[in-house]
Amino acid sequence: MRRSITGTILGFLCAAAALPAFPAGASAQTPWYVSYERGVSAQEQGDWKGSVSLLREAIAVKEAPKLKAKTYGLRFVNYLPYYHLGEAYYHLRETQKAVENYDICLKYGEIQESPEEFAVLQSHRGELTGEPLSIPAASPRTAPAGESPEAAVGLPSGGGLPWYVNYETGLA
Amino acid sequence: MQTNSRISLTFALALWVASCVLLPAGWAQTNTENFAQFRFNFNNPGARATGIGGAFMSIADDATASEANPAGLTTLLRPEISLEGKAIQFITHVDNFSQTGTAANFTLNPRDFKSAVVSPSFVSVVFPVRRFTFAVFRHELMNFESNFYTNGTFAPGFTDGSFLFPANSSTRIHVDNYGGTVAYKVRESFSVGVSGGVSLMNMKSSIARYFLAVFNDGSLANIATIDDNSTDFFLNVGLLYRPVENLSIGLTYKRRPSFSPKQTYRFTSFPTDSSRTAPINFNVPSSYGIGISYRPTDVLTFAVDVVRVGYSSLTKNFALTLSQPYLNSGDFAVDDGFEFHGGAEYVLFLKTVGIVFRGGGYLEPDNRIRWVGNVNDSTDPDRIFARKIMQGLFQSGKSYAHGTFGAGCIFSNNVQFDVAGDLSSVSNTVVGSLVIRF
Repeated sequence: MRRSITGTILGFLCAAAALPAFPAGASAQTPWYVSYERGVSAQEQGDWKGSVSLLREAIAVKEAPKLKAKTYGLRFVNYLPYYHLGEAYYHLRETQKAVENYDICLKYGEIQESPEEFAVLQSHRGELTGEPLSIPAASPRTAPAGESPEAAVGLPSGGGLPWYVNYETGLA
Repeated sequence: MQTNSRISLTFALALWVASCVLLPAGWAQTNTENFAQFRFNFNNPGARATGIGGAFMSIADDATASEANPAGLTTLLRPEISLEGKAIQFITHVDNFSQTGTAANFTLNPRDFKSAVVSPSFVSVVFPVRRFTFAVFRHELMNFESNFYTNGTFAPGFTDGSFLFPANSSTRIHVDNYGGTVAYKVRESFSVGVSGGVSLMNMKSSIARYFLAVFNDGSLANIATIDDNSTDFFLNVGLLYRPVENLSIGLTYKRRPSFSPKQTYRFTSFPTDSSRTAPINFNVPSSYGIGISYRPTDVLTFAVDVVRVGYSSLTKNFALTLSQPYLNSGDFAVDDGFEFHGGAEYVLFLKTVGIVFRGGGYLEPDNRIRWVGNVNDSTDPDRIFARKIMQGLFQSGKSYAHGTFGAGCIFSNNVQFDVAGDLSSVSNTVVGSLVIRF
């Protein structure tokens, strides 16, 4: 066993020495959830400006929003970086950037299944654009056969929204 | 023939009595039946780890990582507390419980004896500070209990009436590790960690042999007892490497403690009542291993661990006194062995509550001390007799497969509760654990 222990220690050292030879890859960056949670935490403390760079760091690593995204252990978060960016710009009174990020958030569609955030987005976006956004929360994603209808919804960048956003808003 | 049988019986009696007179340091761990049946269980703490077959070395992403892989603690972003409780049922299989037949042609009848222990088995508190993570913890490394008796049987391998005394045994061993962990994130994809501290052992053991299967002082032949505490230190070293976000590789080395409790031998009639106290060695085998986990999606994780356990340390400092002229320490051996662990974890969300399902298993290698000597290495009948007795008593064991399963509930990101089961033919375990994040 003494020989095994020596071998183990040597193995550990070799493994540690060999690690720099591996390609850095995405994991060499700060994990998305570290930046994201710091960004959200900054917002909770009213540091809207500080949260912007942190949220952009998170987006650089993980672009797409996701509900119940795994962080570490068995911690899952609703990853909504564009919503939070929109919120930051909303409070910084940068209207255009706020609306842009709200719309990117809507384009991905995850926000509709997070009612609390979605209600805030609806309210703030409507306040900035003067146009009410009447997309129901937790929209059912069942589609009729064929193409989605091109309904006018009054969104500035509505062409890029998921089909059901326009469709259901049009029905409303 | 009758005379020969009587001589053999007398010799066997003398052998067993002499064993208590002459048992040396290091003998008790291995050469009495109660320790020969001893089972180690080195599974990582936490119901989460138990549920996936103990394959947690490369995951190690909660507060139990102090034991599983200290490097994994760098994954934690916030302070965390982990609590675990465990209930274990040990099944002691006694080959020579009773017999049927005659001295010339007999069959040994086995019997299983069950014992159970319930205890708080792990608690840790973790504090991340920038690239460092610190933890303090208590880990119940061992909590073993076994109680059994035999009715006395003819000695295995003999047909001349040589007889093994009825025995009554009780063994209780408790080892707690109290320690701290320092882990450091060298870079985002690579961490190292070290846990170390004090191991405290309490051992209460007795094995008594009787002339008759009437377990009272009137028929007592001899008794070996241990009621002592002992202290040593332990050390866990770990590396964790994540080449990509969903793939993780862990390496660990665990230096486990060695103890020297005192054993008292009391014998009633050889030649007169007397007793003797001497220290024994109890070495908890050290281990090293590698684990790999892969997460194809956020809610599904697969993990495997391969662990090399240094069981050969059980015969380290293996002194011989029983029939010393006839035996060599090299006549007994245990091989180091590989443990293979594997399992999977799946998370299903029902609205805001996550339900976790786990399954897995592991292979526990044979770790019984066995006779490896040559019985007929001389023509001396006393030597052959003594070695044959040892050969019959110290037969090799077998490996055991464990099946594990578990479930958990994620109430929020701050509270997680898990339960798990570990089933095998030698032990059954139920584990419950709670993780609280701040």
